[in-house]
Amino acid sequence: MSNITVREQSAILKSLPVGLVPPTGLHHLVVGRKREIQALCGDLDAVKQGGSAFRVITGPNGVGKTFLTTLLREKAIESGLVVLPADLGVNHRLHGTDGRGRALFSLLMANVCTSTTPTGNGLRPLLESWISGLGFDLGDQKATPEAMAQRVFDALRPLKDYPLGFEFAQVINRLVQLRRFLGFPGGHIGSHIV
Amino acid sequence: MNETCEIRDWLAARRPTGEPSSSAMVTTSNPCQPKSGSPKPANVLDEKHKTLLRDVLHRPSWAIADFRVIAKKVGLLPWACMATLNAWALNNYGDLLLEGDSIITINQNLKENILL
Repeated sequence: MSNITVREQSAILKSLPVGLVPPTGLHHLVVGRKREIQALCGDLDAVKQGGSAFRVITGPNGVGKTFLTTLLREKAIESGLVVLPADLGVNHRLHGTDGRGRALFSLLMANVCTSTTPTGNGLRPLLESWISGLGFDLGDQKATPEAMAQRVFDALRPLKDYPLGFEFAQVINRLVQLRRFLGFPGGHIGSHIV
Repeated sequence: MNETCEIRDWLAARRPTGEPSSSAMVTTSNPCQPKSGSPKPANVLDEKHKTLLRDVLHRPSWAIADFRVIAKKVGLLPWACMATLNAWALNNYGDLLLEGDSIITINQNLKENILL
């Protein structure tokens, strides 16, 4: 026996009649593709351990490319990874003029998927959870703006080796300060599961 | 059919958490062999999140501005606590509790099963 959630049931019943791949619950429908799925899940394991992978999936219309990539996305999210799906196209390029390169990155940021936001829009929850974690780390200490700023920069220190890493840390720090300005006490914003 | 069962079991085995038990889950017949797995201990919310959850469950949906107000009342960041409540619901009931961006809707199927 296998359990299907109401969400999965609803997604499957809505999507299949109109010929779409359901956004969730694909493991209830998967047939065959054992070698492909095992290879792709092997890539996920490598990514989880800090590695990387690049795959190109080709095939005629209706062969199941979208199904396979959506299943992979679901498995990645289940594994605790953050997934940023996007379709490359004329207006969404890896690099380009007229803001088309930036449009791709905007799309990626809008499509941040996590286990708690599997359909996208996960950037804000992700950042706020991280910020809350920092507040929790400070514990009972007085969370002054300086202490929080220092905590942010310490936590993001590894990113400073990358292009624009320092600027990214500054943006996150501004966000933390803004949250404090809006009245969320820094030392007591710890949201966590015990 | 054998390969289908095999890959389904293999995918199920990769799931990081134990299957949550909830009446929000519908059991479907499956010709594949059942998986035996040890249930993971249920996660517990801290007092702040419990308080927020009690407030949240009073309405079927919340405008984000109102949600911010009740989150702020208990000293939590709105999107962070939404993620925390969803993670808790996912671990304990197998489904998300809160969804939406400008309007946050409560999963009514879960609401009936939540015990605080």
